[in-house]
Formats: sequence, structure tokens, C-alpha cells
Amino acid sequence: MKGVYLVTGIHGVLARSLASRLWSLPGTRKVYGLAGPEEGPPAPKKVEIEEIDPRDAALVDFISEKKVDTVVHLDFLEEYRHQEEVFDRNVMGMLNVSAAAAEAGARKLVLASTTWAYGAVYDNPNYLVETRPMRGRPHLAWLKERVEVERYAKEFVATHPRLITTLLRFAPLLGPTSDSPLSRFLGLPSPPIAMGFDPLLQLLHEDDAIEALLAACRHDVRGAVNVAADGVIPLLKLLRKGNLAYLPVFAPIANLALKIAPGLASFKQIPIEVDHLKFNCVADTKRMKEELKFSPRVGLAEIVEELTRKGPAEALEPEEVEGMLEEVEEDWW
Amino acid sequence: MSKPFRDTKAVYDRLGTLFRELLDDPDYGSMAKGSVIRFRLTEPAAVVKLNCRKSPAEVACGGEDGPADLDLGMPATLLHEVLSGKSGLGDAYRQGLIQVRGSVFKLISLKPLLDAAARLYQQKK
Amino acid sequence: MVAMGVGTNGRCTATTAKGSPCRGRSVADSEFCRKHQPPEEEAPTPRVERSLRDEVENLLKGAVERFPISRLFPSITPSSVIDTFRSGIEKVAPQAREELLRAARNFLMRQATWLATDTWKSAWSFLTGMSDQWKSMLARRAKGEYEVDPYGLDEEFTDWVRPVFRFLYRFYWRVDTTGIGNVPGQGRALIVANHSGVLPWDGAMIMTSIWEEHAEPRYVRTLYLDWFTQVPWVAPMLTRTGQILAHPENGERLLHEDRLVAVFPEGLKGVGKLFKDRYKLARFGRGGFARMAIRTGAPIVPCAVVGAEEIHPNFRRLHLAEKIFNLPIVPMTPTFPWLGIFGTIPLPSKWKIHFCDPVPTNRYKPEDADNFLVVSKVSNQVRDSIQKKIHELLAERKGVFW
Repeated sequence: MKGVYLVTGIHGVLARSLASRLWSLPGTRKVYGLAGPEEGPPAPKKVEIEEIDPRDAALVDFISEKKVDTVVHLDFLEEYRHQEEVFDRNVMGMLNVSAAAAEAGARKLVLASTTWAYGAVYDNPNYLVETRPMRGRPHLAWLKERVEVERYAKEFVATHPRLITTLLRFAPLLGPTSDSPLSRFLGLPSPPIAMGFDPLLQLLHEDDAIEALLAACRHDVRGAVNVAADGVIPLLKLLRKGNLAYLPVFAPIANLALKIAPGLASFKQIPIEVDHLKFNCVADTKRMKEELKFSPRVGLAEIVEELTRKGPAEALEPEEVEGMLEEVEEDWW
Repeated sequence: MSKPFRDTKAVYDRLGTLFRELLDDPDYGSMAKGSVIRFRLTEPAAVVKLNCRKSPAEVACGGEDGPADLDLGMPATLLHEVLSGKSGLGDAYRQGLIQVRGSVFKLISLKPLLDAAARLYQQKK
Repeated sequence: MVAMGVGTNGRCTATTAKGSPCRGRSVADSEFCRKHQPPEEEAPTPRVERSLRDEVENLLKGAVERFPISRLFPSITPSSVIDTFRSGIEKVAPQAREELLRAARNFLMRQATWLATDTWKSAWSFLTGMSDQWKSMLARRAKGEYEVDPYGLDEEFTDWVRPVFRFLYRFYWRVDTTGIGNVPGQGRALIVANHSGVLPWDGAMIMTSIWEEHAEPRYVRTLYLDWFTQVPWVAPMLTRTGQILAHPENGERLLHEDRLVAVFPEGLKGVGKLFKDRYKLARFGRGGFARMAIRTGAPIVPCAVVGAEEIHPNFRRLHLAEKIFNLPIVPMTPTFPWLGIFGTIPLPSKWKIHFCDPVPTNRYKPEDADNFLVVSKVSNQVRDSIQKKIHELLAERKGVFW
């Protein structure tokens, strides 16, 4: 039934904001949030939380019973080292949710992914279109899992043509509440960079990520869409503007360290792939503007400006996030 | 102090006609032959490019792209003062009010042209 | 010059060249006979003359005020000089006035500029202020305040390093550029050139020739081999000066944006050529450049570069070193690898760059880019045109280094 939404991973910051914002779309009747097994903050206003594990087959019944029209799958945990439980949740969860959506007769499925799944390879063209293959060779668990999700999503779209599947590939997110790998990288006391390299980066403000998801709910677009703010910024410029004391590391040594000890606990020190410190991974946003009819409101300069003013976000406690969201919700009513 | 230029269009009208007249004169036009000089003004924002490689020399208003042999960035009021004879270009440069991209020697060698521009500017007042 | 006389009685009032009065009959409505008619030049526009007069008067006033003439000769004051000037100019024929005023103005202007102390003071300010400017520019850049275009071109940085390229262009390789008019000042175009010389200096010189010599200078985006993105320090340097990775998607995108793009289809085969094969064009790849141009309708400007082969004469390729260090080419030249890092300094041969007549592609439809016959026809046409021009330039060349 049109206007019934299901947002998975409701405890995540992005999902919570989205769930509240869905009420701003015309014709919204009901918004359900799917929580995982872990504890989380209480439900945002007007969002009914269901505690069904995303891997649970009972999801099919839930979707068909409640006549859910659009499923937005945002349940993904970003961990650096491989943990079987997390992998299961991320990859199997996605498979289950998408299969359930198709089986139960939902009309639309919106998935989230990242432009970094394309991989920062030395011979990347300057602007990657959505049809480019996923060529990265990631070491970090979260990116490996994202690439797997992409692979399954591609197969899923091919085998389920009736369901409208939109796959939004977000550029690295930055913003006051974001806890993305890039913001963690910038939050390091001295982010390491590859000496002699200065790749071009693309950014997206977290508010625009939510707007893009709303646009995906509003318009029916099939397939992958890159979502990013206009323009590119060299990595060194970003670090200098943010006044961060970066540490140039000689690349061959960094590579050697990766090969010898990929599982080192200290590896958490570099929350992003070394390749992204060397080569470009910039996505083309023509499809976003034309088909998704969405243009990010927060420009690149503003994102960097905000970063300079407030500094990168530390990993926030759930109560802090809760408090911020409550303020925002009050404004909207 | 009242602003000498109200807005970008006023800048283009006044400076555009000034430089066109200046470069129409065969002696002055040949002084800068072979150079592309660009003024990047702020408050109001305006870009005036003198392309003396073409003959007749072309004065283009707006449009920032392309390399220039000499690129001067300064507030529009400063340019007005220099052309009116109230400020010296060298002093302004020393104080860091002008950003020069390109060869400073070229700037020095173009002083006669700038003096002529100043004379013409003052004549038109 | 014909002196004007006063009074007419049907006789010409001119004085002949020999100095005797002319005895010819004057033409109606004129003081002169047909032979001595003043030339049919346009009468000097009063506006121009007036502005010249004003300028000269200003300059005279300034000159008198500047030098302490009045102290030595009290009768010489600005106003007296101007009066003298005004009465003097009236005595000159109107046709000659403008020329005389111009000459006077130029003379006085040079005096005003080069004899004035404030000119030299400001020149001194410029020279001494240069280091401050550099410092403030570096400080600003260290804070990240510089702009970059969508492909990474940093205009401020490029302007800053331009003198190096200019030196190489004018003094080291003394490049002679011809046919620059064949490169359009606006709109998309694809420059296709032969490639040689181990390092991509020929690309840099093509770029510099457009900057220096073209009537409407533009940034040329040269497409470089993908291997260079893996080289530290070189990769960001290339990006900041506007060079872009060679990839068909990049090339098409740039041409669609109406930019000027330069490609070297010979690629590695070109730069890895041995000295004995110099100036023989290698195969032009699979025609990717032609496809790019046909799809976007961009005219192809073939470009012949002579002189780049001799900067690093390559006698042998050291394949073992290439394998060990993972480099695409390691040449053996008269200076490398014996002189180590100094062996990478190129030799100062004399270069000639010629831009041939553009090959238009707008007679083809974009779909023709998938037609191998069309692509290879265009590709061969361009290749032949470059090869022919290279032979011509080599024949004209007197020597390698001069």
C-alpha cells in the first residue's frame, strides 16, 4: 500500500533521521523501523519499531502483513576487522531483506552503498559512471562487505525485474553527526597520507544523504545512482583547510605493512584504504541530477567550511545523537 | 567614502571603454603587444582581460578561463585610486594589496601603459 | 612638405621642392594647383586631436613641474610653456598636426615615465616586494586556500611554474612554432602529435607553445599514460598543471566540455623508440583518438614535433632494469644511466612544432565511431599528415642543436 515505509537498521543515525523525515513526503501513512537484536535508543516520534532481526525469515510475513510499499535497507555496521557476526548481519541481512521484499510483494527497495566500492585504482577515469565495474581490492572488512553487497545487489536486480530496486552509492559522508570512515580518518590526531600523492576527493553532507534517500522514495529509479556534492577537492587541500597535522608516510613501507600484518590491532589507526590516499575515486553524478532529480544542497565548499569550524565529529554516544535528533524533530513539527 | 564603481556592470562599462580607447591608439596598443593582461577585481567582482595578441587588441569583460601573461588581483577601489593617481602601484604591491601572478618584470615594463591609462582615466572624469 | 602660403589670385600658393613659388593655376575652391593638392588623407578627427593636445599639455606641465627649470629660468613656467606650445601648434598644417602631436606625446611620455623617480621607486618596490608576495602566497596555500578545477588543474600553481616551461621553450630548446592558427581559440579540438624523448617533454612544449604564441591562449589538457599516476610527486604535479589520465571516457568528457585536448597515440611505443628508428611513426594504437573525435565531432589538429627525439637518444632499452624497478621504460642514452640523476637532464636540441590543417570530423555521425573503417581512415589520414610534415621539417632542419 503506497505510503507505508520500512526502514531497517533504525538505530543508526542516518536511519533515525530518515525515518522521521519520511513523514514530510506526501501520502505517508506509516513508518516502521526495523531494529536488530541490540539495544538502542527509544523510537523517534511516529515511527513504530519492530524488533525483527534482518536475517529472520519472519520478515516476509511482516512486510506482506503490513503491506509495506517501500523498504529502505540501511542496516549496516562498519567494522574494520572481520567479525563473522557482523559479516553475517551485513551481507546475509541484505540478502534476506531484499529477498523478503521481493517475496512479500513490496513495490520498491532502496539500498545504500558507497562510491568507494568502485575502488581507487591507478587507471580510474576521472569520473566513474554507474556502469563501471567494482575494481577495488579492499583490506578493511566494511569495504569488503560493501563490495559483496554490491555484487549481490547486481544479481538481485537482474533476477527480480518487477521490484524497483534503487541502489544509492554515497560519496564519503561528512557532517556534524556523521561517523563515516572518512570522518574518523580526519578525526585522527595525525592522519597519515601517502608521500607524494594527492588524490581528488568527493564529499557528501549527511543531510544530503537523507535528502537523496527521500528522493529515491519519491521517484522511481532503477539501478545504481551515484550521490555526491559537485566538485572535487584534493586531499592535501582538505587536510590543510581543516588544519590537520597530517603525516606523510612513504607508500612502499605502508604497503609492506599492510601485506605483513593486515590484522594488526593498530591497523584501526587507518580507517580508510591506502589506495584512496593515492588514487582517485570520484563518481559521476549525471544520473543523480537527471533521473533521481536530486541536487545536493550543501556544496563542497560549505562541507569543508563546516569541517574547519567545528572539527571532525568524534564518534558520538547514542544519547548525544538522541538529544540532537530530538531538537531537530521538534523543529519539524 | 563612496564607492567609485556601483556594481560589476559599472566596472565593465567604465574600464572596458577606457581600455578599448587606450588600446585603439596605435602607440599604446603596440606597447603591450603579445601579452594577455588580466585584472581580477573584487568588490565588485569583475574580470577584465586585455588580449594584446590579437590585432586589434581585444578587451574582454567577464570570463576567467585561460592562462594570462600577467594577472593582477586587487580590489576595484584600489584600481580606481591607482588610475586616479591617488595611490602608487608599487606601494600597494609592497603592502600586499595586489596579488600578481606572472612576471613582475612584465608589470614594470608596462608602467608607461598604465600611466597612459591613468592619464586617460583622469581626462574622462 | 608643402608650405602654405597666404593670398590667392588664381595662382597656386605652394612652394615647389626646389624652393621657388609654383606658377600653376589653382584649382577651384583651393589654394593649390592640381599637382600640389594636399594628400587625400582624412582630416584628423577633432576629438582625437583634442585628446592628444590635452595629453601633451598635461605632460608638458608635468615635465616643467618635475624639473627645477623655473628656478634657473624664471620665465619658463608651466603656463608659459603651454602658451608657447599652443601657438606653435596652430602654425602647423592640420594634416601634420596629429603626427606631430603623437611624436611629442610619445617623447614626453617616455621622459615622464623613465625619468620620474616614482617609476624607479615603484620598480624597486616591486622587486623587493616579490619575496613578500611569495611568502604570503605560500602561507595562503598552506592554509588550503586555492582553487582547483573539476579535473584537478590548479591555475595559481601552473602560473607559478610557467617560467620554467617558458625558459625551456625559448632558450633551452628554442622552439619554432608554425601553424598555430590551425588550433581553434574556442571550442573543442583534439591535438594529435608524435611522441618521443622518453619523458613527456613534448607534451609540455606543446602546452607552452599555445600559452606563449596563440592569439587566444588556452589550457591544453594532455592525456598522459596511466603508469604516471603511480609515480609519487610526478602524479600530483601532472594533475595540478592540468594533465589528465589517458582514458577514452576522460577524453570524450573533456571534448564534450569544449576543451582543447592533446593526445599522443604512439604511446609507449613512441617514447621507447630506439634512436635508429627516430622519426618513423609507430602504430597509432587502435585508433582510440579518432573514435573520441568522431563521437564528439571535434576537429583533429595533427601536430608534428621535431627535436624531441634527440633529447634522450635511446640506444638500447634495459629490459632487466624495467622488470626490477617496475618502470615502463629504462633507456640507455649517452648520459643515462652512467651519470645517474644528471643523466635525466635532456639535451638542448632545437625543436620545431608545426600544427597542420585540422581534419574535421563533423561530417561523420557519432555512431560512425564504432565503424572500424571510418576510424582507421581518419587515423591513417592523421598519421600520414604528421609523418609527411615531419619529413618536411627534417629536410628543412640545418642541424640537431641549432
